[in-house]
Amino acid sequence: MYAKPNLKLFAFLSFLALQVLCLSNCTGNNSQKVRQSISQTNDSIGYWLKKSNEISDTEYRNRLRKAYDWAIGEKDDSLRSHYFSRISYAYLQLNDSLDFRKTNKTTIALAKKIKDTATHAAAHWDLAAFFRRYAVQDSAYYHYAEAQKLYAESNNDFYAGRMLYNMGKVQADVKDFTGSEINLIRAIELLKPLDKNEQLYRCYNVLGIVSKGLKEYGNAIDYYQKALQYANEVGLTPSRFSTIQNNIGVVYQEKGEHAKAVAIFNEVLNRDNLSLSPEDYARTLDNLAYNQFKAGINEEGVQEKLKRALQIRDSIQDITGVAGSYFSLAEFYLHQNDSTKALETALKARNFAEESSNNERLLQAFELLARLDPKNAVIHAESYIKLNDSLQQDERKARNKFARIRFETNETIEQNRLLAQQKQLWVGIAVALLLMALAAFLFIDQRVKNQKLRFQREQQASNEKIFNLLLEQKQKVEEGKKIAQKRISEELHDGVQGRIQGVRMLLTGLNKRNTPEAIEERSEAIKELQDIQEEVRVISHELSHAAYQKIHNFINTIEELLRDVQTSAQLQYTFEYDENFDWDMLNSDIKVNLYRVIQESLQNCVKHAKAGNVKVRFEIENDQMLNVSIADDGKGFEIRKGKKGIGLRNIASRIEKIGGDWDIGSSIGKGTTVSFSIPILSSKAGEDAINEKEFQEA
Amino acid sequence: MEEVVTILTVDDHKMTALGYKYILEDAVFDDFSVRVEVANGYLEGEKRIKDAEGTKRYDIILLDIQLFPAEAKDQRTGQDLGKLARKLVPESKVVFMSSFSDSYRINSICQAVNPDGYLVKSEIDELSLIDMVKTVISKPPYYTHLALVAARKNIAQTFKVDEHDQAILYQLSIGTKTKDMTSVIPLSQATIDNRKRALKLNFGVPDKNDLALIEEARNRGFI
Repeated sequence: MYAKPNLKLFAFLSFLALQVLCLSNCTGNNSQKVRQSISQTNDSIGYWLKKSNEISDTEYRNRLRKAYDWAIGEKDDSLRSHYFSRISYAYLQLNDSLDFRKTNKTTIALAKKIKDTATHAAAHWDLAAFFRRYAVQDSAYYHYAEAQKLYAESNNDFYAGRMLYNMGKVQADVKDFTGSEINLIRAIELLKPLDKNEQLYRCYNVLGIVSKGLKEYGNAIDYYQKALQYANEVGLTPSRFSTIQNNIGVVYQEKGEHAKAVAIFNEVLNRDNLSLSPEDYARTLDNLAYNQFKAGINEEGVQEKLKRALQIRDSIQDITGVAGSYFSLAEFYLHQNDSTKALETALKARNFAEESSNNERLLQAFELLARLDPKNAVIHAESYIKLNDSLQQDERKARNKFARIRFETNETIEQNRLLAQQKQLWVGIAVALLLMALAAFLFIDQRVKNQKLRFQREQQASNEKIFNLLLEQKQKVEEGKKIAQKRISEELHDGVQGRIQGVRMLLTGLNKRNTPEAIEERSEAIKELQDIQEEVRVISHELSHAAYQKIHNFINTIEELLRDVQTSAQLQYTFEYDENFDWDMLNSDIKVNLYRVIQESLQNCVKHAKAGNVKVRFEIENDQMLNVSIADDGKGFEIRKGKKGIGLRNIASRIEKIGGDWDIGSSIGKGTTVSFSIPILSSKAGEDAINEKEFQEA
Repeated sequence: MEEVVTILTVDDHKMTALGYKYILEDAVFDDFSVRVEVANGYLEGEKRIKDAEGTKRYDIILLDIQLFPAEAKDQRTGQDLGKLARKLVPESKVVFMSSFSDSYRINSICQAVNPDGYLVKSEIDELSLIDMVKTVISKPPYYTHLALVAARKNIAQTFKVDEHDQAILYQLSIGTKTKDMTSVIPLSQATIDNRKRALKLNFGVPDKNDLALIEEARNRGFI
């Protein structure tokens, strides 16, 4: 009857048949969507991977090999992982397990290495689908879980939800109903906001199965109704309608409400029986007939219906269905009290159940046989118990494994959380340190700036002071000049004028006298006139002298400074300078800074060198350079030792400011000589220039 | 017996005093003759006046203002002698003969001594001396032209310029800074500033600097 049963196909079909309603190609379809989006690149890989009806399987395999060689040659990791992903998928579809496992492994390794989450997750998905095909449920579950984790990490809710659905489905298959329910509900939570009705329909459908498994029939029906709603949203195909209605019908059947079940199945058949697939039609027909006789209504035609279903199933080689049909028939014969026929049919049901690896059905068959065949009842019961035990053991094992995987997943999540926390902590510490460093930098920078500013302000203030000193000196000279003028005027007024008045008065008085005394007094008056003449000459000479006398304001200021130091610190000085040079013509910058520098140097002579004598020299070299030397006879110091004090730094900064050089020569016991050479750009504007410029600065 | 008018002349220049003496003693007056005593310098003048206390030894006392040589730095002047004479010998007429012709000085003397005559030295000659003696004896006072000019400037004023104002103007004219004036004038700095402002207003130079004030004051004869 079944000439060349393809074992692989059987295995595949058996797991599909376990839950009659499964949508066999859903996984494949989903994967395809992913691939399509990736494989838009129009390259040779794409060409090789394109499957068409024109090429044979062998030819296609050759192409895949070529694609594989090409992919290996690819240098770019991300491209390589991409190629491998597509090749491995092609192998999966081709059912080439060996090549699939090889390429899939490479893909996972590559994607993991380059952290291509999408490819990595897809590869796990492929592998899970592969294991599912071979009913290796625990591995399938594991890889679905891996894929789910990766999708969840990359916030891909849609795919994460689909993975959860697949996980729930695997769990439902091994009757881990509670675990399945949890995953399905999580899947629904993710999918609902995205309005993915197709997936939601599937989720509710499986939830219905799970609830039925948990014997929560009310819930199961509710879930199926929801599934029906979502199916309506995406388009209610006859196949979907029949699937859901059959599921609902089976629930009523299990509840023992056969009449309701009959109504449901009738609805399916009456609605649109022409477009139902033979498989669906046969299943519905079988279910209807089964419930009809169970309900004890309308028993005529039941046998015909059951036989017709068997016939259809047989013709399409639906072995699982055939087993079911025989089981229904056996029950029917039992119902008719035809135990011989019942036993015969039950045995057939057992055989087909065995062939289709439908353990559920097999158990039912054993149970029926034990009832029908009292002679062999013990053997059947033992078979039943044995199978049931092994099934239960397997399921328990699988459930434990799921629990372990779930636990591991939770553990990884927890670890990730801890890692993330640690990372956050480190980032926090790093940021805090950075901020602190920044704050410290800003603080120090600000302080340096402030110090600079303060230094500048101090210098400015001292400049101003010196400048005022110079001005005062000038004023003193002016005052001196004024006093001289006043004195001359007074001399003229009181002395010369008074005396002339006297002579005039006397001569007037003696004018009419001609006595010898009068003559003598007149000669005295004449002599007085001579004296007055001399006095006028002297005064005039003084005046001209005052007008031509050179007054060196700057030199006076320096001299005054030296005198001050002399009186306050008993430092004797000699001061030499070129009398012919007009010192006041020096640029005011030079004057102010030079004054300050000399002041500083004198302070050093007094404070550090403890000198008794100092010699200050101003020399003009070629009208271009001003050489100043300040030599003391103090105790001196070793130049290399010790760092520069603020005084020397001050000197350096001021000399630098006016473009000069400076040098300090000293050795212990031989005194110290500080010398400066300053380029002079004698400004013609002289003193007046100071006034304006400096005042503006101050 | 013909009446004799006795004159004391106090001057630090002996020749000047002798000149007065010869001129006046040689001059012919209608109803009296003149005898001149010469006191050389402040101290001698002071002694003569003190000696004559309570008497009418001198009909006229001629006082120079500056009686010490410039280098002596003695602050006393003929003005002090004038006040002394007024106190000790009130019956003697006091006449100033000075080279000072500035309004400030003349006014200050007029107020302090109220002299019977003021002669600016450059205007003094034989005629004016004789005229002065005649006038002072019969109907004082006697002012020479420049002295009159200076005195009139003050009289012509519609507003009052008191001695403090005068002092301020004078100090300003000799270049004293306002902040230093408080040491020479018994007024506070703020008062001095206020008075300066009022003076500028009165002299028609508001909002102008001190130089403008001094010039205007000089024009009007306050300095």
